[in-house]
Amino acid sequence: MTKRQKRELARLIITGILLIAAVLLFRLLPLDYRNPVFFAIRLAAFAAVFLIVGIDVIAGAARNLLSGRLLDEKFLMTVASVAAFAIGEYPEAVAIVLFYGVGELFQGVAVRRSKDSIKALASLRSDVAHLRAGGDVRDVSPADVAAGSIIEVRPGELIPLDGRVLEGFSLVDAKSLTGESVPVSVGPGDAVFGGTISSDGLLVIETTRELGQSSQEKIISMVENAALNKSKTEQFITKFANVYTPVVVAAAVLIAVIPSLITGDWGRWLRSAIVFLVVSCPCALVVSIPMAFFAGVGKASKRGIMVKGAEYLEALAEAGAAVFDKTGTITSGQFAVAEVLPAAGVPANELLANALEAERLSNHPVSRAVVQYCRENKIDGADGDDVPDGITGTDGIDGLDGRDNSGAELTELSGRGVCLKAGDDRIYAGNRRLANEILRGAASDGTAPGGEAIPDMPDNADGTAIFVFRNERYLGAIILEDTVKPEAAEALDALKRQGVDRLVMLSGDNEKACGRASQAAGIREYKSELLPGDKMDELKKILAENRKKTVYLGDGINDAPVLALADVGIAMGSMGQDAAVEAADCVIMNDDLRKLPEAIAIARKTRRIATENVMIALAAKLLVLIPAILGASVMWAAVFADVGILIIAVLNAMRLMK
Amino acid sequence: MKKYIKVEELCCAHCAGKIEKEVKKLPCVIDCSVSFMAEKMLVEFEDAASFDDLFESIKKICLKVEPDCRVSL
Repeated sequence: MTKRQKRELARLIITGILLIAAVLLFRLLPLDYRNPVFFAIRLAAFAAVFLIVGIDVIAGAARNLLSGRLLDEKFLMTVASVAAFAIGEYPEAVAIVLFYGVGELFQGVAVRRSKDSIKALASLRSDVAHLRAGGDVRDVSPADVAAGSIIEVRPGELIPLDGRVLEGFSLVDAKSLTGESVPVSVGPGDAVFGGTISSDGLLVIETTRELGQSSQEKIISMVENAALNKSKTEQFITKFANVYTPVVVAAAVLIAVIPSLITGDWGRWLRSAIVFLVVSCPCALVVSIPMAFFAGVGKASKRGIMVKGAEYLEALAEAGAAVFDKTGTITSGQFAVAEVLPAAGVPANELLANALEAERLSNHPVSRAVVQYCRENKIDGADGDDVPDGITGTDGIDGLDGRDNSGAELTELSGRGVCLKAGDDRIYAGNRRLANEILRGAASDGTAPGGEAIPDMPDNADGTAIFVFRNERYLGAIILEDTVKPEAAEALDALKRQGVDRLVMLSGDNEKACGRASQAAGIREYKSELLPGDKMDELKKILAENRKKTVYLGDGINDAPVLALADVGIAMGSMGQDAAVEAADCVIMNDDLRKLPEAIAIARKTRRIATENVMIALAAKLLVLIPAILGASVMWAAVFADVGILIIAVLNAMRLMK
Repeated sequence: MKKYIKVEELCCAHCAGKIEKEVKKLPCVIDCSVSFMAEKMLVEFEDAASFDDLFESIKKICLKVEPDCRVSL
């Protein structure tokens, strides 16, 4: 509670005690209030109690009246309490302002607490940075550390700012940013992000950003700013409130006047009218929606899903189609052998054995993928560890320099592949450029044999192909491809179960590669060989055909226009990539596809809770209004309806946090 | 141009809505959103307008609707 709230609470408690005292006192005293003196004393006593809290309400009402705003809550409360005084319901008059005050106070406290707990969700803030300056280490606030400073991060501490490791090794846990506890080992030269936890070693870090620009601050401000990007439901309820209040007030006036003129019983109908005035305050109704969305955005950010607006969370809840980029989204960016295409008359094993021999000593990712494949398929010479111990025909190669005792020699042909000289034989493994050079007899190191034409050399536009030659003889090609993420099938299955019926993969890759990826991931619909402009056109078509919302998931780097076009554009695997974060409506911090169904689930739960809150608020108001018309004395219930609804709305929204 | 302005200690969500409505009426303002939960305002205004003058006008509106609130950059 703030100081102001504490003062307010004290005032409300005093008013409450005095109210009870006054009620008891005047009930117990055997006085005749028809006597003008006693009548005046009683009125004055209640008026005094009323004014302790009421003075502010009346002052506020007067101020608003002067600036021309009639339907202000304070004005309505003033009218209601004056009317209560007029019909002799003094305790009720005090109760109106008292409960109004309690409601306001509770609302303030509840909102502050829910905000704090949402901010704490991320718990990304570190209070202290150990700054190295002039041979000294001083503890300072992270806000005071300039970019380019040297800080220490001790084991178990939160890294306070984005930076680069200068010294030390540690396991860094990015759970607070990505929602998944996957420790990553970092060492000198690696980038680290503010808000992650260094678990074991001491790290010396050169900061690269000030606190304001650091990853964790961006997330915190993104969660807050998401509230400014309002959901349609919130906009609707705000408009609704603008109509609701005047209608209820008008109803109050009509109820006070018309039946009273007919029946002449002013007290009875005025009492009903006061209840209407009291429930005309739309606050609980208006706050219930943003409260739910605020909690939903907070929950998502805790799970490593940053949503840039309540609007997008709402759209996610209505997702009916999901469109994916292939590379980096459906696939992992890790190469694996997809196809082995031996030349005519060459056994596959011979092709692979030669490829293995040539690639064995190279550290290139493509080479590693070939070696891995050979090992899995038990190709001769592929057993054992990475340091070769028995490559066919070349015994005892001495490891990293690629030269063995007997003179077998590995040459890296930069940008083309490798050449292994073993005895009199040369084995080439490389890309199309190398293949063409060999065919022309013009490999630039002068070793190319010049060779026969290759009748069935595969044409692979995008997947990586390795062509293998032994001397001038073409042995065949090995096609490598980006592998589908292991969780892809599970994630897409979850989407289908959520009723996201249409799944489409759009890719610039060739038909074959897309066919394989879509099959492995379980996407039936895909479009291949698309230029960036084609992707836009395809997405436009899908947007036009899909009545529900369409989500696009990409890496956010080269597909910014497509991200912007979709109802919800989601960039994934984008930790620390400003461009991607800028372009997307939503950012999935790691590259786990299962975050998409999770985000949709959170969005749907948020929307359900927001709807419940509105329903409860409206129902509570109606429940008070109907008996009020019928003449029941429900004043106390009416004043509590507003506060009670708020409590329920807050508690309901907090369910999201679990 | 877009700017964030802190609007703290608003009493209720409805007041935030009222401030939003009033700020939108200012001549140089293109769009405005006030969040009661975030205690922030995002205001988009014409590049030619002076932000200092705009800030003063916004402050006046906020204090008129909610005399106890705090407005800062």
